[in-house]
This record gives sequence, structure tokens and C-alpha cells, in this order.
Amino acid sequence: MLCRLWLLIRPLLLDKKYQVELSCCQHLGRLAGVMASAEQNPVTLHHHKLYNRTILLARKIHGDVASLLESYVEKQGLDRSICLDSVDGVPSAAAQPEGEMTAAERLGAGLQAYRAFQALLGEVLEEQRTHLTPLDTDFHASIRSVLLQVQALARQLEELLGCDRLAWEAAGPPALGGLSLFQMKLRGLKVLQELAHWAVRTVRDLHQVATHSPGSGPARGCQVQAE
Amino acid sequence: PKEPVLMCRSNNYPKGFYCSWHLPSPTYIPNTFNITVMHGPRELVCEKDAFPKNRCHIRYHQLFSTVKYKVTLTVTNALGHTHTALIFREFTIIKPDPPENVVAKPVANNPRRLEVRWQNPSSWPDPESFPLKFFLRYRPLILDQWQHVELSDGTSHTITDAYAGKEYIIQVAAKDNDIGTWSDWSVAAHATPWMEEPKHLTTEAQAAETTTSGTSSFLPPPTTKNCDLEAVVGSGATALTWAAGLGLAAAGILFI
Repeated sequence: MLCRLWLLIRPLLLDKKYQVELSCCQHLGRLAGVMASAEQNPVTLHHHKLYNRTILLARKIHGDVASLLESYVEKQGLDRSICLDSVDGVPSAAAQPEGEMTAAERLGAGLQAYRAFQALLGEVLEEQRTHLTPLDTDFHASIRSVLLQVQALARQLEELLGCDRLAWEAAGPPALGGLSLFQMKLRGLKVLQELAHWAVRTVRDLHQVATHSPGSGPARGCQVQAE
Repeated sequence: PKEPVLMCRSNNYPKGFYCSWHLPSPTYIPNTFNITVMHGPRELVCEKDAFPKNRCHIRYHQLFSTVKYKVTLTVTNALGHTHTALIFREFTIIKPDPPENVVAKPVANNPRRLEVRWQNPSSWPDPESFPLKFFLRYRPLILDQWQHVELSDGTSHTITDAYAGKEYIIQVAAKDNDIGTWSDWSVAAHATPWMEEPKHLTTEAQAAETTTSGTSSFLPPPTTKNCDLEAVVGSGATALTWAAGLGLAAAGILFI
């Protein structure tokens, strides 16, 4: 079931150029039970601490991105209310309020999104350095700080979910061509907006995992091959 | 009609939000209100409340969406029509109701402490997934300046710097940990820190009378401290009586 779910959500989250080969997270179903009985043995205690750290990191990302958004719109000369419907390739945080995905499955979707955001933030940073704000090193440092935090969040989610990363194939060096300067600005704005919402969503999903009552057995692992 | 005043708020996130409206001045003729809610290209249903009549509520069909909502209200009467619109993102209208059942109590034997407890607003449907943080303010009634404390978790707090013997007013506000704005202040709680009970001096005659009157003589007050003090004071008064008697006797002998 998880393999089918992954095949369903993957096209919605990722542009085709981001190729991921991922061994399915074997502990998705068991994670809820681990969180619910956190203090019974060293392993669950470790998970409980990791869960708390991950929440704190996701919340910090949300706060830092909210601040970065303020300076981003100012430096790019944009209006926060500008329509971003034309911007593609950014994982959308929007989710059904009571969808079929469990909280743990949503965490897995978040993990895929954060991996995509690592590449996107890298591109945004390079566009700022090369074209848009070449002299604003402080601004670049702020973007890089968020990028590093997203990398850390992805690693913590991998550890929480017990995922083994067999291969992580990004599209190579950031592709700087193809977008006009204005399109670069819009995409950067959308990246930051969606990332802020993903961080809130992840905090909620982590809280839900912590309170989920153990019921189902562990999820079966499966191999998902990239296209 | 004049342009109506429109407000939208989510006090029960992530269930939904409500919008309410009113006219800034009465028209004295019948008015009809029509509201539309758009989320991107999608129109959402705003279910009108039976009471009050100038309010309707919308269920979220998506969460964590960056697409903006647009709410348009049109007022029509026999003399014409006017409209107003609100455009907002999901997180910006989130505002919980104030905390409920705020209670403040003195702490025994601690003249500078007050223990405050409260509950999550009952309208907040999922405090486990969307935990609230709280802001507490307090001041003695005789002063105007508030003290503030922000609390990231828990629904209780002990004030440790209260002025002894002064009645305090305490209020609490709530906010989601990460999104939205602070609630209004709660209904105020009042409390006065614990005070030591005043001590009463007793003479030997009063002590004897109360001893013969019943079994409840010299019942110590609740605190051990006061009991000890009263025993000391009692024994001191007895000693003073004896000393005064001896002094009078000595003076009498000398006089003779």
C-alpha cells in the first residue's frame, strides 16, 4: 500500500529532474507505537528525544523562513500578494484535513519535500549570488542557513522514519538558465512560502505521531525505483 | 447602504473559520447580505448560522495552503447595493478564544506566591496536534502596571513575586505555538496571597476560664508556627504575672 501511495504522491511533489531512489521506510507504521510508549526502553527514549528535537527544528525553520520572507520581498521589490500560480516545480504543502494518509505517511511526504527544497534553495541561493543580489552576502548567508537547517531536518526525519537512503541523485549543479530574472524572483518567493507551510505541517504531523495510539503493525518495506 | 464591515477568524483551527459582518450605521429598511468565499479558483460554501444571523462558517477543504482566500460581502436594499472584500492567507486569521476557567489561589505559608490554573479554550478542537502557548499578566489592584509571563506549555503557573497581602487580578491569553495571533484576555481571576494570621495575647485568667468551659480550649491555629508562638506568649504572660506578684510582695514587706 505504501508503494502505491508513493507512486501516487511522488509526481505531485517532485519535478522529474529530481531523481530519488529510496528504500521504503520500514518503520512508518511502528513509529506511532514507538512515540506513544516513549519512555519504556532506551530505543524509544532515543526516538522520543529525536522527535522533540525535530519539532524544535521544524519550528525554528518556520520562524527563520518567516523572517527571510520579509527581507526577500523587500530586496526583490515584490508584493507579498503577487500571484504565484504560474510557478511550477515547488512542493505544495496543501493537504486534505482528514485524508487517508496517516501522520507517519505524511511525515514521509514531508521528507521527500524537504529533499526537493534542498535542491531548490540551492538554486535560489545561486540565482541571488549570480544575478539578483550579488553584493548582499548577509542575505545569502540567511538563505544558506535555512538550507542547512532543511538538510538537518531531512536527516532527522530519515532517522525517525528509519529510512535508508540508497541513493540521492539530484540534477547535478544548479541550472541557472531558462528563467528570466522576474521568474527567478517569483520562484524564490514561492519556495520560501511553501517551505514555511511545510514546516508548520511537519510540526503538526510530529505531534500527531506522538499521540497516535498503536494499532497497526509495522509497514512492509519496499523498493521504489526512480524513473 | 454604506460599505459593510467584514471580519473573518478561525478560532477552531484546523476545522474551519467564520466570517461576520455588520453595517456601520443603520439603514432602517430591510437589507439582504450575500457572501461568497473563494479559495483560488474554488468557491466554498459559507453556511449561515441560525444565530447570530450576520455570521457564517466555512469548513477547510485544505490545510497549509499558500493560496489566498477571498471573501466578498454584498449588501442590497431598496436604495442600492455595496460590497466589501477580504483577502487573506490561512494562517493570518487564526485566533483562539481566551483560556477558560482561570483560577488563582494563594499558596499556604507563602506570602508572595499565587498559583494560577486555566484550561484550553473548549472551541480549540485539537490541542495535541496544535498545542497552545499562553501569556499571563497580573498586577495588584492598587497598581496599574502589569507583569507578564509567556509560557510555552502547561496550563498552570506559580507567581512568586506577589506583594504580600495585596489582592491581585490575573488574566491569561492563548496562541497557537507557531501560527496566528493572540486571543483576547480571559475573564479575570482575583486572589490575595496567603497571610500569617494575627496573634492574640492571653492572660492567665482567660486561659483558666476557657479550660473549664469545654474541650476546645487553646486549640492551636492551623499553622504550627502560630501554635508555638502562642505557647511562648502564654508562658511569657504567666511569668510576668508571677514576677509582678513577687515584686508587690517585696514592696509590701519593705513598707511594713
